[in-house]
Amino acid sequence: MSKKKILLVDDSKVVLMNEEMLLKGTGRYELTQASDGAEALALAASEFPDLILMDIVMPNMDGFATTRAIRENPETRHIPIILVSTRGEPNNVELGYECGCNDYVTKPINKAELLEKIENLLD
Amino acid sequence: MSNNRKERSQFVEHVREHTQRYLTELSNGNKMLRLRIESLESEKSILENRLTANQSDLEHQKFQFEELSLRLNEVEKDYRDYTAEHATIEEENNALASLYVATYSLHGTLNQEELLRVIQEIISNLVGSEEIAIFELSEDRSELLLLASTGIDADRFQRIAVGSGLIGQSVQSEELYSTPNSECGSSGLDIDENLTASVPLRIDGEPIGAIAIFRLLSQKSGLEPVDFELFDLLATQAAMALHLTKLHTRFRAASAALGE
Repeated sequence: MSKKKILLVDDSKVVLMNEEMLLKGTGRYELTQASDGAEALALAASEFPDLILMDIVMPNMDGFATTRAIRENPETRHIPIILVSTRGEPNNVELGYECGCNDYVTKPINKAELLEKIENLLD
Repeated sequence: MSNNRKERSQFVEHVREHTQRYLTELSNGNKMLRLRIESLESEKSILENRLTANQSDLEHQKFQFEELSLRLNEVEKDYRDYTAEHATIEEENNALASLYVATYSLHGTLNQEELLRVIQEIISNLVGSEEIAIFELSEDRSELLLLASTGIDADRFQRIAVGSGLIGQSVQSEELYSTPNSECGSSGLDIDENLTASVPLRIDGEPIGAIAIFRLLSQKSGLEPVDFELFDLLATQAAMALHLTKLHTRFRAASAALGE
């Protein structure tokens, strides 16, 4: 079975490494990384990942704007997006869904919860 | 007279014949009944044998059922043990991953500003708090001086006397302070009321500063075992990394002075 490609997007190296550690151990995913929204858009359009795991708070282009831009591109609009939120406040979550995200997780990331959400979207 | 005798004789003959026929029929009926009884007895014997066999079979099956029930209980217990063990290993793996990420990140830079950012990212993303203060001990070791902070009123934390309040006391005693989980998330105005943990930073057992963690993120109800492992790691590794950045800064300044 071929590995599913996941694009990790965060401006924090600590977070990227943590997400990589959590997902790499499963052996089920091929991971690529982007450190901001613009890079994420470029990689989404060139690599066509099976799923994007993206932080909300990023400089220049935040997770909401990046999600919206991904949904506006016909070639990337189908890619499932999970947003990583610092706060699980209803406003944040609502805005995320309005922008087109499929699901969200809150920090600190719980591995079991993240894997379950990823599997649900990749099935 | 003669007629009478003949009639009587005929009657006797008739009765004799009837009696004979009746006896023959009775004998035949008797034979048939005997055969039927033999057949029923044989059937009864077969059924008794079958009953004995079935009873023995039932006993065997009862025994097998009990054995299978015991085995099933054992398998279920093994499964529960295995699931619990798997969960423990998974938790340990996650904790190790967090500790690895923290260690790797802390020692990835010699720039103090970058290091302070990394420490705050570790706490924000791995512990789950966005209200953090990082202090260093003053030269005369009497005060904690604020190096960096996020999510708090920095003016209130510029200087904290060693031994004063929960942060100052934790540095003085060189021991981690942590609020019981039931009290996490309070929102009092007092510094100590909002404090979740104070981690004294130590090198060779000597305090060099502290990391104060105030309110946890709303989705986090309290500190977990992995958080305490992270605090242990930060206590020494963040201290060492901070010390190295200071040495590096001094070394660069000295090199620059020598170059001039």
